[in-house]
Amino acid sequence: MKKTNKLYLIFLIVFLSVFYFLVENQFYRSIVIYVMFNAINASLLNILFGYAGIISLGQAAFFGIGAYTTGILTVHFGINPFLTILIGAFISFVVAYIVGFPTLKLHGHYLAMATLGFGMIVYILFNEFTDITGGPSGLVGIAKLSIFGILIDDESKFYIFFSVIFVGFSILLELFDKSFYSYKLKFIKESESASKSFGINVSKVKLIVFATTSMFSAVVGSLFAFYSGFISPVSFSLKYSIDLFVMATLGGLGSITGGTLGAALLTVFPELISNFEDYEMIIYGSLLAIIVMFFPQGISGLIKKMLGKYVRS
Amino acid sequence: MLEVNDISVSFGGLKALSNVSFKIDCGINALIGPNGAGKTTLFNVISGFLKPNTGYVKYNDFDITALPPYEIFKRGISRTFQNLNLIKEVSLKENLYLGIIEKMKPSLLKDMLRTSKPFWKNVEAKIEEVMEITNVSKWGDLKPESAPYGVLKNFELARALISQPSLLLLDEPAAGLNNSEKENLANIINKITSMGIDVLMVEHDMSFVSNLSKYVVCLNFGCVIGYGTYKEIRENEDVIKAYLGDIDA
Repeated sequence: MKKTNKLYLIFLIVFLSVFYFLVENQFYRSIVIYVMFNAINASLLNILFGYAGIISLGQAAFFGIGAYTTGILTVHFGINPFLTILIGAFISFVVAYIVGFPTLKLHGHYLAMATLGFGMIVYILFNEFTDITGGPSGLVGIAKLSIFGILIDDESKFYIFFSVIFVGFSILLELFDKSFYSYKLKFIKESESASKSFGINVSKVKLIVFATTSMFSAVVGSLFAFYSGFISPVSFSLKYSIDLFVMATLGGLGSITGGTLGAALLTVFPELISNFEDYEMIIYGSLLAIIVMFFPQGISGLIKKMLGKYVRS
Repeated sequence: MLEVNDISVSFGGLKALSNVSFKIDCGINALIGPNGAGKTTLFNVISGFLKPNTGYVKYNDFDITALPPYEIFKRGISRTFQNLNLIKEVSLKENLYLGIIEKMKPSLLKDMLRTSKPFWKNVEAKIEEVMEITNVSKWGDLKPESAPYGVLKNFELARALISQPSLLLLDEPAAGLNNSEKENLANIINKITSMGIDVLMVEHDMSFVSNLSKYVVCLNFGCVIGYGTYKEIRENEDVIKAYLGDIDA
């Protein structure tokens, strides 16, 4: 039984607590909240791609399905906010299962193209179903979430609420990483033929992983809708799927800390270079090329290597 | 008992296997033949990776022809691959988890709640046991890239062995090994059969085959051209022609 990486989890808790007490600026808090949203989504993509080898360029769609389910159900139908999270998760799971059933038989570039196509279709639907989604102008007036009678209606309250969710998610991810089941995904990624010959129903496992991560993405999407109070298709475009892909790769594929590291860097970085916004994709592309060529294990791999050398010396 | 009956496989216009039939019983059996004879294709049919155009494969009187590989595994058939199929990301010891991952899985919830210590202890004990049988105990913590080829071959064998099969399909187990490694491998295979596991191996090394095999099946151009003990096969004219060419030609 592998030991859990308690240090990383303690670091997360300490960082989020210290940041909350030291930084009262709402803008900086909102950046950390965005980092956490992206970190969860990038980590889910990391499970898909880094662990199971399922390359998906349509993850923004599942994030969007959650956000729009919550948005539409609370704005148009006044349904209980908590219920909308569950409905969004369920819809996302079913959609992922239906989409994954034929597409997960594909590999590599073909799978990337198929999932990219799916993401584009969902993006177009968000834009075109103007009556219920609000079209390109978006959907406004999404209800706020209330927990134990406390309405989460400002930055500070959401920061605390979402930090708890994020730490909980990170613990879950860490426990998953150290479980026997995580090996199954690694084996499938490295050799489907060997996995099949040792009794693994590869198609079934891939489908379950795809549908489950998509379901979690939808939950995060619902929380995003509650947080921002306004959603528009642009938040769930192909660009966001690519952002997540770069975050997971930059942070380190197949590593639990990878998603968070990549998300932290690529969420904070654009804020620092806001004057060069037009060149963002060029910078992302270059970063991706450098990482893939020189640091395939990403930043987390680099840190591990450096720590290893330090410990040895 | 494994029964291969009237198996034919075509890839477009190329007939890889043509009405192949034979039966093997307990002990060590070998499948031989020149390059391109269809040995690995037949292995792929038996293990479910390829579906034949005609014929059937029965294992212990159960028709396994249409079953997917993971179902065939559940029936007690494990295999190794010609090109080593070990996972680079994890240690050699962890590679052995693949052999038991579908047989000894704990509940995901229990495992994530870290209450599955007895399960992990059991896994470790089993791994130690097969590493000892295959003489690779000291290499377990290394990653595949750091170990010699002969050790990797033995780990592949250990991975198949830990799954507790009743029939083990070995695809060119001695390929690329030196003489002492081959001797070691022969001892391991003998040890495995003494544990009640039957073996069917594809092999090119005839002295390795002659020392180990009870029965030999010889394929050429997708057809069975000889079946019997090694001595019978060695004296079979068709087999001699297949390997040495037609003297009259």
